[in-house]
Amino acid sequence: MLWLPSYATGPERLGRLAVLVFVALVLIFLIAPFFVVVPLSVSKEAFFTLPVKEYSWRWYQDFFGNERWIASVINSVIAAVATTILATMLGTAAALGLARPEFPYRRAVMSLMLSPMIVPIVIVAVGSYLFFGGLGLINTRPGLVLSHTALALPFVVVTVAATLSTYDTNLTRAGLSLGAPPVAVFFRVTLPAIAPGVISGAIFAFAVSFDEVVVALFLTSAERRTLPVQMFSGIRDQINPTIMAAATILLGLSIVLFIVATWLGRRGQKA
Amino acid sequence: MALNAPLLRAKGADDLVVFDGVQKSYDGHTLVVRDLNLAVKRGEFLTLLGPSGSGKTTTLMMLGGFERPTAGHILLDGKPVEALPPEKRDIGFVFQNYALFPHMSVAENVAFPLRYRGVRGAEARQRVAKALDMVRLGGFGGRRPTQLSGGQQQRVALARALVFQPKLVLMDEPLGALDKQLRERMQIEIKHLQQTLGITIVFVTHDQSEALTMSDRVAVFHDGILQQLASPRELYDEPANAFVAGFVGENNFVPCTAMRIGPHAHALLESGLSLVGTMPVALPNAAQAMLAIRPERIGLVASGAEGAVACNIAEAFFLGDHTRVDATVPAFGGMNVTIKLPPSTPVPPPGASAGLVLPEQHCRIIAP
Ligand SMILES: Nc1ncnc2c1ncn2[C@@H]1O[C@H](COP(=O)(O)OP(=O)(O)OP(=O)(O)O)[C@@H](O)[C@H]1O
Ligand SMILES: [Mg+2]
Repeated sequence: MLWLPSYATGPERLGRLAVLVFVALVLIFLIAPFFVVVPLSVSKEAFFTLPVKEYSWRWYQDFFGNERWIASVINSVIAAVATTILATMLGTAAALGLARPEFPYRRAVMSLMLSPMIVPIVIVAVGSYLFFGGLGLINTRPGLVLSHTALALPFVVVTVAATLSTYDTNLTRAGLSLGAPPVAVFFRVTLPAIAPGVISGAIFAFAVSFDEVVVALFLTSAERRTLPVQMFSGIRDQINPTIMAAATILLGLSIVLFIVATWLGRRGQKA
Repeated sequence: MALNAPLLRAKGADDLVVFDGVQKSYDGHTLVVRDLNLAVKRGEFLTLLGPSGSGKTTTLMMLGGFERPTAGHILLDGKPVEALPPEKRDIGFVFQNYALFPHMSVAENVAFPLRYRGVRGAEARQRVAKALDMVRLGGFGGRRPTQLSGGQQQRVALARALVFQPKLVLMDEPLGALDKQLRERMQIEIKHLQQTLGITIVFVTHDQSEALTMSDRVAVFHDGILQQLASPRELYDEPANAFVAGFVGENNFVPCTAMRIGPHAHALLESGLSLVGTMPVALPNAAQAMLAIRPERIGLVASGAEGAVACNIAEAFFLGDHTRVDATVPAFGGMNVTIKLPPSTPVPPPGASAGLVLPEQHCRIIAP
């Protein structure tokens, strides 16, 4: 696909070359931070200088030895896990409902559900702050989790809806006709069939919460800081390469999650 | 009253399913099923036959509980089923694409309905094995559905729908995806199973030969309307209207006016020719009608023979088991008529004049 057949003309070859160069530049631009952050995280020096002269794990030791960093990781994990559970359950239920042709105002409801993907994050953050203020949810875990759930929900709805579009409704009908109550049909027939979509939706939900900084800045106090917020404040006060170690850890986690999600997506398509 | 009640019960007692004035519309204005009145007898093999979009699947879905009738009632075992969800109807369903659960083994698929009927452990295993043996798939229990051929998957679906001994089994074009040979073998297998188990089956197909082969009775659908409900032979020999006559088997149609003169039914053709025939369904006098004659019921004789209708041979094809002749008939307004003759009959060459013999009992005068 990438390479042209032998009968391609000169201008065609030139055009293709231009496309390839452009794609390569875009890719380099996208992964450039990786080549800065990762080497700096294993540099021995306390200043950000490249190329790295001497390697060491000291910033990682710093990271794992620092109570604040560890607390922020724990906060992030708790928020992300809770968000994942909530968003996956709600998103799957929403996608199932929206897949039914008789659902009233399907398109409008779907757009509303997906709106957190489009609305600027600062607006979500300010909105959450003002709204939760009245409810006493600021600086609480439930507040952060609720807000993150709203942000993560579209990802679950979209991935589950995609899997459902290839789901054979006759499987549900078969389950019912064989005498299984609707709940049993969901857990024994539908859920296993759409599991790849549900799991990759869950992974996206986890990633959304784990990476999110703006809403977390507004909604968390010092002791509830999440990892991205901790990094952000780290940059502001005392800049040192521990941040690079934290960034590398986040990056590694994102890559693993992305690979798992892609793999599950492929498997879902094949089934 | 005391006398009438048992009589009434006896009348409906052999009806397992009754459609009573059932209508269905998906969008609120077009009726996909119109005023359906139909009774399925206990132990019967009833087929819903009709072209694509005629409402067969919709009818089956309403019976299975997956669609709600817009009007009318469906009675199962004498009781209305509107309030009964699909899982409580105790109806086996075989889908066209089989709808086997892909993440379960064959045995788990077949065991699925038993679990919800409190059958577990050794008894469940035994019944699963018996059901798989019945469809000649003993030993395949450990496989996944994807590791089976289309015909084998079809049989698993059959075993799964039969293992819990439902009172009624619905099948929606279950053989549609199989090749011709396998389809014909499965037709006979299903028919045998139905007879030995004594179950009631409502079967959907758009293949008329399948319907004729398998059914005790056939309900022909067209545009959501039940056209005729009859045994295969009756359907073939006494079609109620031109649609049925044309959909089931082959037919020659000549427009005519129906006339009842004395004890005889006449078809008056535009050419002035009047043919004596039969009317399976009485038509009012002077009604627009169709004269329908099966190709194999027409005889070919020498030109000018007594009582024969003159024709000109257009073409003749030898097809092994029969010879097919196309002839132009001036008295039919120059229309072409198809004739099927036994293979040994001598056929005049194209262009020759000949005579058609149209036996009275095979000239059907029916609604257009
Ligand atoms: N879920 C639905 N929503 C809207 N219209 C539908 C739906 N299902 C069927 N229809 C319409 O109802 C009519 C009858 O459909 P149905 O599926 O009952 O036909 P069928 O006789 O089973 O045809 P086929 O032989 O193609 O399966 C068709 O015009 C179809 O477009
Ligand atoms: Mg259909």
